[in-house]
Amino acid sequence: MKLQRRERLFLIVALLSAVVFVALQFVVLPRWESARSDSGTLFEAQKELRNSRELLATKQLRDQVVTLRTRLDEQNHRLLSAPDQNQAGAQFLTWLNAGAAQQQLGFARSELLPPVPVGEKYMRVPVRLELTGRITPITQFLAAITNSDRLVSIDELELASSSDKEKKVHCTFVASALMAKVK
Amino acid sequence: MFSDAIPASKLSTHFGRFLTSRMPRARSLSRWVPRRPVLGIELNGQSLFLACFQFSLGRRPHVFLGSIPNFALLSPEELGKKLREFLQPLNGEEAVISLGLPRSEVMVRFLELPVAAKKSLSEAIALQVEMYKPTDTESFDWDSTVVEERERLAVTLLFTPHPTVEKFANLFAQAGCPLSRIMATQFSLTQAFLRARQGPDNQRYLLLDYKDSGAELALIEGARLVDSRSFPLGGDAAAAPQIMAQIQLAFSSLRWKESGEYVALLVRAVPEPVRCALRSLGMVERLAEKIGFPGLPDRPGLQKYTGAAAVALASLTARRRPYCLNLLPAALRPASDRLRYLPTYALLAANVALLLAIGLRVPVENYFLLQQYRKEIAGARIRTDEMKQLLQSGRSMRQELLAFDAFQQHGRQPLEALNEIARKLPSDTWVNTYSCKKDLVELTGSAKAASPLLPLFQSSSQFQDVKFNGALSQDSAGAERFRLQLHLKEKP
Repeated sequence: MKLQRRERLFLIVALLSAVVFVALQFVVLPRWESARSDSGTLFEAQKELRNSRELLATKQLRDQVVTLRTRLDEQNHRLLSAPDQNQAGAQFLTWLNAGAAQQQLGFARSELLPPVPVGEKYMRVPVRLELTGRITPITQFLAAITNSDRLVSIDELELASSSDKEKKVHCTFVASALMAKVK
Repeated sequence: MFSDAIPASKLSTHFGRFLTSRMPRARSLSRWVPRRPVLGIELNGQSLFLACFQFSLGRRPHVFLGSIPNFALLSPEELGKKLREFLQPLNGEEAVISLGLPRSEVMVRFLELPVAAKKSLSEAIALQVEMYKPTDTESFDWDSTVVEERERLAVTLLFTPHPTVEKFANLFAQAGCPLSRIMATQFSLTQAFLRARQGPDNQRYLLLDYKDSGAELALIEGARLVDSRSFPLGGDAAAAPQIMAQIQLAFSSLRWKESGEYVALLVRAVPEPVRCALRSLGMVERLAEKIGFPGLPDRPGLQKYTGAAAVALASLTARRRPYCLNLLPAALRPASDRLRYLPTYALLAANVALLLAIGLRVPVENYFLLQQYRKEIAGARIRTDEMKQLLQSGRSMRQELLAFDAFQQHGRQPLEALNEIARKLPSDTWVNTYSCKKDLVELTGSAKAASPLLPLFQSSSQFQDVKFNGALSQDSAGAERFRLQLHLKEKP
């Protein structure tokens, strides 16, 4: 088949148009659009890269985490260690009784209150105690339990003087200790 | 020689407005196409009429007009010298030279082919040329032009003896100004007229070129030249009957009615009797007005250069246009320098590339920068993820420790409040009950004077909103019984 010059020209123009169309449609325009939209994300990428670099440059981060871990482990040792909440309450009560006995305080009444969750990992185990004794041993007892090797908090405290000659004080308090949540 | 030459600057100044108003848009755009100067030479009797157009980008062409009388008496060197003198304003720029032969130097044949012949047109025309050439003994140079009509192809064949072509080609080559084209001036005028005409119509035109030596007549119907002839004239007085006789002959051969409405187009000025005779056929107009040559003045004295201008501008016309012919064989044409405008196009391309580069610099730079950033981020992702986890666990541990501290601090508050009260209480004050729940402390007791207790506790750093919670009363010993309420201050 012999093509005339004009037909050849048309054919070449059509082929060139097709090539240009394919190049524009599938290569140039997508890249152009990508480049245009990238200019918006460039700032975010710069920010992310700067953060990454700063993060990598923070050499003391590992040391800090190790220190925190050590401190947290120390604090965790101060928690009640019992398999469940009832046993933890009993353990806490026993420990309080031992402290009260050490101060020669009279034990009147004790009550285990319902545990309350603290955050996602811990439970607060409250106990209500009623003691009698002179004010000095009572305050020494209370100071001793709040500064002990256990994490203890006094939530409520009531002191009432009695009219006896020994000047004994009736003390009611609610103390709480922490325990790790049972998984 | 060059008596009629008009300085280019004068022409361009005088015809500036004319060009702007008459030039079609496409022609205005064509100003931006780089072109070589074109020199059209019309052979008219013993004289050569010259019209040279010099183009510059974005501006109107400059036109130089002139004539060389009795050129046949000149040696090629003398002719070359005169031509170079004429082309001096071009400052050495080489012009494309075209020669327009008078109608008497060429033979014209009109024929028609079926539309089906279009597929192998060149073969069909070559066959027709063999049939229509004047003699078999003499060699001819020929060219053809085809006008496509509804059911036929109107073919016009143009013959000229090869010695004639060779003679002029050699003459100008020896003069140092080789010809690129040889054409018939009448065909160039026809082509220029058809091109300038606004839209196709079926009007019949008579194109009359009145010269000293004779006249050339062309009949145009629609877009087609249907008759062409030249004839000598016996002076201005007898010109009118002779011309009318030729017109009648042409009409009768074409079977045109004499009473039809024709338009006579005059290339040059004609004597008044001729004009009056032509008016009997219809309107009489000047061709220069119709064409509107860019840069060619429409003055009566310069009408004789119309043919040369048409020949010059025909050189710019695309080969496929009707009546754009070249009788010069390819072997006698000067080799075209295809690389002539290479630096111009290279510079243009460089400019375009530069503009593109400037325009695309920012997005492309952003693109590559973003790719680089993403690569770096991806490379450091494992380590940064690890560090992020460390950071996160550090944060959560710190929060746990803070929660433990807060728990303990809060747990010491009742005892600390008790210590503060014991420290602040005056010696004559006795406390009966002490209660601390949440941040509320309540005291009951007795004092010699209870009122000073308020400012006493108010000044403490641990309490706020100190007030008596009930009226003061006196006991049997005269001491004031009080019930005091204090709020614990939030620790920072």
